[in-house]
Amino acid sequence: MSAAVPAVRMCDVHKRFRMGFVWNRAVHAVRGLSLEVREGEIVGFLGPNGAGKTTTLKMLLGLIRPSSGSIDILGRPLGHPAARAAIGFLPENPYFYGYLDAWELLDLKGRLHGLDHKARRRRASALLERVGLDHTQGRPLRNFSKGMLQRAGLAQALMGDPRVVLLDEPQTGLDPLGRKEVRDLIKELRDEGRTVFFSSHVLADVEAVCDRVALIVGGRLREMGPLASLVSPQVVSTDVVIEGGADLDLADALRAQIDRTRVEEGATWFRAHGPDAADALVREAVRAGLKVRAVLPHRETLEDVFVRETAS
Amino acid sequence: MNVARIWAVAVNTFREAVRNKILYALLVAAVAVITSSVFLGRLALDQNIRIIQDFGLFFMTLFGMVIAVFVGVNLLYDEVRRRTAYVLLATPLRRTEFLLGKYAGMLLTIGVQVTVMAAVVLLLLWFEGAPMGPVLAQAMALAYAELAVITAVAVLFSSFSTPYLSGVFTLSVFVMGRLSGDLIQLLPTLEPASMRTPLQMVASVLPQLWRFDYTARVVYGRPVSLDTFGLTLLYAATYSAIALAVAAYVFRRKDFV
Repeated sequence: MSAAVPAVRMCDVHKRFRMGFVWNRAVHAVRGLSLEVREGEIVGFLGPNGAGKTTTLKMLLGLIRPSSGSIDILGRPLGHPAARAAIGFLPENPYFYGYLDAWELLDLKGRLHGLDHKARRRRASALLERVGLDHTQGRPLRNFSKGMLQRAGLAQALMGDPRVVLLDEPQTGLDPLGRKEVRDLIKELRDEGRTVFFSSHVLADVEAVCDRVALIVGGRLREMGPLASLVSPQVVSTDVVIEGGADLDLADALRAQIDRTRVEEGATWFRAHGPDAADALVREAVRAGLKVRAVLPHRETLEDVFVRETAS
Repeated sequence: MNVARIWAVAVNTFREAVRNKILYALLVAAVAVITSSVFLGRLALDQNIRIIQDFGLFFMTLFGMVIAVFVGVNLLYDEVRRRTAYVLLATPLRRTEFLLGKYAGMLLTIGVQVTVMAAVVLLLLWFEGAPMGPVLAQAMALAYAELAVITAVAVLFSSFSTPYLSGVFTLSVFVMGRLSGDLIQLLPTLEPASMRTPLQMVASVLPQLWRFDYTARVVYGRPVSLDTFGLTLLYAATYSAIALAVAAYVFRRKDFV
């Protein structure tokens, strides 16, 4: 396969659902979605609730059929056996067969991927060790904690040695340590040459691991690109912490650009909007004989982009 | 179509049934009821063998049908509702293979249950010194074939309906299928005549389950020709295949929202 072939390509994909029996109302969940995910990159798929993220992921898996448009996986149409074999998937809040243990679940996945007995044993053993579940043989999945289920889910997603890994909210319900483990695993998958496309609400994690981000709102792709291209490098505001400072008298022009945000442990926190206002505030404080404890510049975060785009 | 993948789903479905305590309870109840036919036989002078044969075959079918409906109507619905199907269908497994695997797993489950019940019937008859003719084995095989048809019907309804409605539909088909022989016999004399064509159509769509009931032949020791037996099995296979083909068509077009 040529390196130029995208791992995932969606071209003008629409999905309309028919709702209701009598009125048969159409709900447009995804509208003209076109995107490409290159091989070996991590792409975060963001959007508010109901934006069409899960519908898009389900279309990539063939669980929902697009109303129109085309989807290719590694250059092959979605229904092609090679395209299906190339995908690994972790659903949101995974629910597996509760009567199976993790080994049996992976064995079943291995059978569906056509692996022979030895290969299934070898891969299941390696994957369960990788996610820290190798000690759970004989323990039914219904007795697993949420974090353990998520790790079992990640292991089963990798059982077919997929080149494209689709993860739906992989950090949901995990504690900070679990989230870090998932972040590390996602990076490892990229380092192994796999493509990772995952939806998430945890923007800090998306920022930490993604090469590119796609933002979907109302079923339409709003933004897609590297984080640096979405997030402005400019300083948007600066927190200035001044010891005392509650009585600091500011000129009217400066007051309009500065908010007093809080008083904490004898220090006053100011938020200056724009770098010039912060400089002026620091000069005023020094002139008044006050001590400046800290100057903390704020740059735009992914969360700011998310809020701006979803609100507009 | 990949047989290995179908078999993998079938084995998993069978494993689910084996680890389901409700099915054990049903099997124990079935064995208890079948065994009680010995005591009923004692009450009827010189009829104990006939009563064991009659009760045994009847309850084999009845409990098998309860299991087929109970498991069959939930077969696809639960997989979608609990989203367990998602991780399986996100593999090379095709939806039709998934459906056939679930059906094959059900047949395995029912096969084990029917075998246990049949063994109990045979054991009781052996204790009573009853002759074990081939017609008894044929009757048991056809009871299983009838359950295969009912299971296929349950899977068909399960592909587009809720478990409750699927259960009602399947039970209705079972009852009407058992009575469809009488309906076909009555049709030429039915009044008003305008009702004959629609009823003829209904009768031709329903499975002719009366064909599978060999109880009377067993009780009265009337042999069945191999042709008739083979044709009945062929009918079961054909009807089940058509029901599964329709179910697969519906299931393939389903959106897992």
